Formats: sequence, structure tokens, C-alpha cells
Amino acid sequence: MTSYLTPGGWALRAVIALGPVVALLAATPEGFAPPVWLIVLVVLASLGFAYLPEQYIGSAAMILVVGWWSIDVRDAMPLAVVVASGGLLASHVAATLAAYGPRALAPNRPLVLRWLRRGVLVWLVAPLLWLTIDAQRGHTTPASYWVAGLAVALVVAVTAATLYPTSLDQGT
Amino acid sequence: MTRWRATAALSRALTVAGVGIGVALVLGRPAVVVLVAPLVIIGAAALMAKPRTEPRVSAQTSYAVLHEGQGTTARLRVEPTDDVEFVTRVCASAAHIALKPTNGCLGHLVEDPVPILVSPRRWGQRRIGEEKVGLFSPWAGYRWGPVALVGREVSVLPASATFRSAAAAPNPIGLIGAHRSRRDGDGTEFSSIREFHSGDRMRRINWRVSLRSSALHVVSTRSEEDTAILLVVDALADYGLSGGIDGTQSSLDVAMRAAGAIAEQYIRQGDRVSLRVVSPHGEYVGYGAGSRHLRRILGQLSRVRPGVPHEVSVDRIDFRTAAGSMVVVLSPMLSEGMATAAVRLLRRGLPVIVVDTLPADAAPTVSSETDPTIGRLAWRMRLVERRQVLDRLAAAGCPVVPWNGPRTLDVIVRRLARRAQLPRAGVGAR
Repeated sequence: MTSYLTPGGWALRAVIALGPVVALLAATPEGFAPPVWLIVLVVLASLGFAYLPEQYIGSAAMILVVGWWSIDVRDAMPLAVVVASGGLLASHVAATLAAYGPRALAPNRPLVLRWLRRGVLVWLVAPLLWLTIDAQRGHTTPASYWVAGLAVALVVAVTAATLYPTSLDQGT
Repeated sequence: MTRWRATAALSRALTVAGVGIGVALVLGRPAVVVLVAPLVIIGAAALMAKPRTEPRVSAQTSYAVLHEGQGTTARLRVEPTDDVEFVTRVCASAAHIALKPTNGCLGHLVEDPVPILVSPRRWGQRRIGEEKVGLFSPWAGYRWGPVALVGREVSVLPASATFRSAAAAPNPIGLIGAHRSRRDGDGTEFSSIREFHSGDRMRRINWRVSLRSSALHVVSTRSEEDTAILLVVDALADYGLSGGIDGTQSSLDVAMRAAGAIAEQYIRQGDRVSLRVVSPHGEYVGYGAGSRHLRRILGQLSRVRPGVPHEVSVDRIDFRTAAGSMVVVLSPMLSEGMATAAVRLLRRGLPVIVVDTLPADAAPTVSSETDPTIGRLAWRMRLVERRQVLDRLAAAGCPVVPWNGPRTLDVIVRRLARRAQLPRAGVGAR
């Protein structure tokens, strides 16, 4: 496999592998250190993800990170979550780019730039959300209010996209 | 039939976002919402861009006929492009086909198409443009394909270096051409000064000689005529490895390129050229001249597949030679039959030249079960026999020359032409 990877392909694989690890370790300076066994597990899953970016092992690596954040960080709101969000996003975008073709396919520059712009714009949601949630802390509005709002929006988006009939779905 | 399918990227975004939102909702973890929020948006954007049309793709190449070493572009046509953002193409690698990009993998945005450059490196019939194509919707949510596209059969003509030979043909017999004939006629080459005959042109009168001799004398010239060339290509087997136009040459590579070069040279001079290939299909092109005829000859050469003719033995092949033709046999002379055929043509009074096409480093392909030492010994014995055949041919009056580029035949043809000019002793009844 390695002999066919282009330099761009290597760079993408590096980002894929590092993203979940960065997301896991981002909160360490703020006192939220994950256990060693989890770090090892995430590193292994991330390496697997980098090797097979078009497979579902990437979801496993990311879910491990999300799980640790929900169990260990609890209802704290460290700034590192914005960094962690960027790590997961970078890994996802790099894997998406790597899965556009076979390993020998060099990343297409205009496509990479397009995804870079998309990634930056999408990532801006994380600091905005962090600021909003942080500003609401201490007020009567509970944090679950924001969670419920986002969940409803997601469900509506997914339902609309899935149920909206297309010509392909109708077999024409 | 292929259709749009969700990609692993969409599945991952939705799975991680779903798990994150679910956990945050159940356990009340606002940090997790921030963590997965970008993936939620990416997943939603990919879902919103779900394709609604069925694309059609077709591959196109610019040329159906190429010379080896030339290149063409393989373009992809996608219609409609409304739901397509990115196109991935993977070209099949094939023997003697060079691609750019070299690994055959190319991806581009649908609005900014980039062709794959294809260059056949060896003569023959080649299929180019065989590839697999995958299409991606915006935000990489859905993928169409990959689908396999059938390539296009392209005739790859042997490369031929153009040159102009200065040597006159030994036996010009046609009506008009560039070769000096043995007969007097309306040419430019001085022949003699003779007495005026009725029908001579006035401008041919040599007044100085006429005044001295008290009778009209004219300057006579040799007529200029075309000649006929028969190219006999030995395609009974291919010896040596072929590395394409810029690599090592096999015996058939040498024969094809030499035949192409000779045919081009003589046809450009206005001569008539015929081609006979000794192969299972026995490719044949009759005598003719002109650029269309040259294309026909090169096209037949590109279709040659080596092998032994099934229907007739090599030494009994009718080469359909025209009277006065010059015969050029391109052969590695490893077949006794080819040598016999050359001698048969020679005994018909035709000037025959053998171009030795066996590369110096050629070696036979021996099966893995054969002892390499025995294989080498057998090959050496075969080469010794070949040397004897070549010597016998030379002794019979058939010059043998190795192919050394387009000027190989010049010296030999000049020598044959000189020999043809010599007076011949009659062997009639006394």
C-alpha cells in the first residue's frame, strides 16, 4: 500500500490518524486526562482509520473520543472542546478526501481547497456554540435546552432529506 | 445498473453526530454538542445534496490511428452534471501504453475536466481508454459507480524516420519517376551524343558537334522512371524483448519500423511499393503509390501478429512480384523457409536484399522447465546455423545487411544499380 501513496496521500493519512488523538488529548492541559489504555485504543483505531479511510473503523475511533468526553468531562465546558471538535472534523475531512479514489490517486488541489474552506466554515460553528453555551451558564435556561434544539434540527434535516422523493427513488 | 449510494463519509458523519447528540441529550453534556456540531452540519449538507438525476458517462479519444510514440487524450463526458461535484477516473494499465498521470489515477472537479494523456509505445492494435469511473455528489454524501468503460481500439503504426535516398533503383521499369533508366528518353541525365533522328526535339541539337561533323547531332538523355519495391516481412516469430519505441527492440520491432521507413521513402519518391507479410494471416498490400497507399501499408503492418502460416509452407508462398521489382526481405533469417524463399526470388532474376532484423542481444524465451544451460547452447547452435544461411545467401548474390536506420539500403541499392547497368553477356546459341 505504502509504495503507491503520493505525498499528498501521506499528508491526508497523517491528519486522519492525528485527528482523534488530538481530540482525545486536547483537554489534558485543563485537567481532563484520559486513561492510557484509552489513548492506546484510540491511537490503534486512528491508525486503522488512516489505513482504511473508506471503512467504518473511523466511526469507532471518533465514538471512543465522544464517549470519553461525555463520561469524563461531564457537564464541564472547557475551551479545549473547540480544539477537539477541530481534530475530529479535520480527521473526517481528510478521510473524505482520501476516500475519493484509490490510494494512488493524488489529492486534487481545487477539491482540497474547497474542503478546506468548507471545513473552516463548518468548524466556526464550534466556537460560536461554545460561546453561546458559555454565555448562558448560570442563567435559568438549562444546557439540555440547547441540546434538545440541535437534536430537533438534526432530526428535521435528516427526515426531510430522507423522505423527500427524488426521481431516482421513483425509478425514473 | 449502478446507482447512487451513500458514502462511508456520510455514514460516519451521521453515526458520530447521532451518537454524540443522543449521548448529550440523555446525559446532558453540552460539550459533546460542540464536539460533534461540525459533523452534524456536514452530514446534513451531504443529505441535502442527495442526487436526483442519473448520470451518463462516456469516454472519448481524439484519434483512431496513431504512430508509436505519439499521444492522444482520453476525455470523459458526464451528463448531466447537476448532481456531480467530483469525478474519479482510474485507467487500466496495459502493455506498451504510457499514461499521464503515470499511475492512471485522475480526479477532477466536474466543472474543470482534465484529460488523461495516453501514448502507445509499440506498434500494433491497442485498446486505449479502458477505465473505471466514479462520481461523487456535493459534500461527498453519495457515490455513483465505479463503472467500467470499454476503451477504443486504436491502430498504432510503426514509427518511421523519414529520409531521402540518393541511390537509384537497380531496375526502374515504370513510366515516370525519379530513377535513372537504362533506356534513353526525356530525362536530365546525359547519355550520349548521336545523329539526329526524326522526332528528336530541336532544342536537343548540339550545334557545335553538328557543325564539325556536317550532320545534325543531338544530345540524348536517360529517361527517368519509377520502380517497384516488394517488402517481404518475416513475422514467423518475434525474437528479443520489446521495450517500445524508446526501449529495446525485438526482431519484429526492427522489421516493422524498417518496413515502414522503406515504404515511406520509396512512396515519397513516387515509386510503387507492395507488402507481403509471412504470418498466419498473410497480410498483403498490392503495388501502389501515394500517401493513401502508404497508410494502407502501415495499417497492415500494425495488424501483424507473429506466427507460422497454416495454409501454405513458407518456401511455397506466392509473393506476387511484378517484373523488375526490387525485393527487400526483412527477416531474422532463423527460418530455413525464408532463406529458400529469398533464393527463389533471386533465381527469378529479381534484385533481392535481405535486411537482418535480429537484434544483437536477442535471446529466445525458454520455459522454466528447460535447463538454462541447454537453452543457451541450443540458441548458440541456432545462431551458427543462421550464420551459414546468411553466408550462403550472400554467396548466391543476395546482399545481407543489418538494419542500421533509414540509410541502410543506400549503399546496397547503389551497388545493385551499378551491377544492373553493366552489359550482360549473351548465352544464346552460337
